[in-house]
Amino acid sequence: MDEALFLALISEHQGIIHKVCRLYRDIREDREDLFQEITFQLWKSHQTFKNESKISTWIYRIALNTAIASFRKKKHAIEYSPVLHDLADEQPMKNLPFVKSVYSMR
Amino acid sequence: MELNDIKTTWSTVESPRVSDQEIRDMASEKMHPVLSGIRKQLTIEIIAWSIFLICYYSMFDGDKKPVWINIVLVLSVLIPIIHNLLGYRIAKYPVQGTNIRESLNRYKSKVKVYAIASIITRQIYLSGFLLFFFNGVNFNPGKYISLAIIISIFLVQLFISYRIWAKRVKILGSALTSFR
Repeated sequence: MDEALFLALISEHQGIIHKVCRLYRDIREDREDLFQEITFQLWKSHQTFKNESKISTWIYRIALNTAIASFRKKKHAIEYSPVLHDLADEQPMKNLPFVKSVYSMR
Repeated sequence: MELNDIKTTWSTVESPRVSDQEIRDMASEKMHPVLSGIRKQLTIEIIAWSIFLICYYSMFDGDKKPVWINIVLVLSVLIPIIHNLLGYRIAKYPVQGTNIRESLNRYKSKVKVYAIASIITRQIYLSGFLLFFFNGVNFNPGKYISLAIIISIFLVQLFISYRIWAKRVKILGSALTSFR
């Protein structure tokens, strides 16, 4: 994969990278830094892409891997619920951390 | 259904656009936010410690101390620098393997080894300095107390360092567990 093709592919699929950054970082500057780290890792790994999967799958894998591997303190917004749930099963799904992260992307 | 809501949100949320030139710049190691920070720190450390090694022999009476003490001091400075250079390499290549689980497993193993080496090299560094500067000193109660305080500070640093690395390895472990 040459540089021109790499740039075209990243440009086309940059939405995936932005979404992973929004999931894993809360502050805009941290998201920009993570976007940069992911782009760097994609460039470092582009020679290993063997067309065995879709390009979007490859980008998502590298992005997720980079986001998890880089150490940052993730700050969760504190929300006070008026109702305390006794059992985990009673907790609405929308209160689960991953789901909250997805909703916070809006 | 919640899952459909999540899928819809994931698909429809708008993202900013980054230009081709910006993407090209980001692919450069010089622009990497973490690596450029590590490089700057390494550069400052290497310059500062090089100046120290050039000057310590006359400034701190290295010529009056046994040769082996001087060798220990030099090694105490060089080993952490070499260790930091290896750390740079680990930070540069966090993605290895054909899938996320394999890549994270390998990365976690490397981080664990690096964490142990980090704690050991820090102790070598501190012990080497203690050995050099306290060599030939005639101890009195005041100096014993100073030594005890310095060793206590070393132990606290050792504990804090261990906690930081343990937390990092735990985060990676948790991420790995979520992929099972």
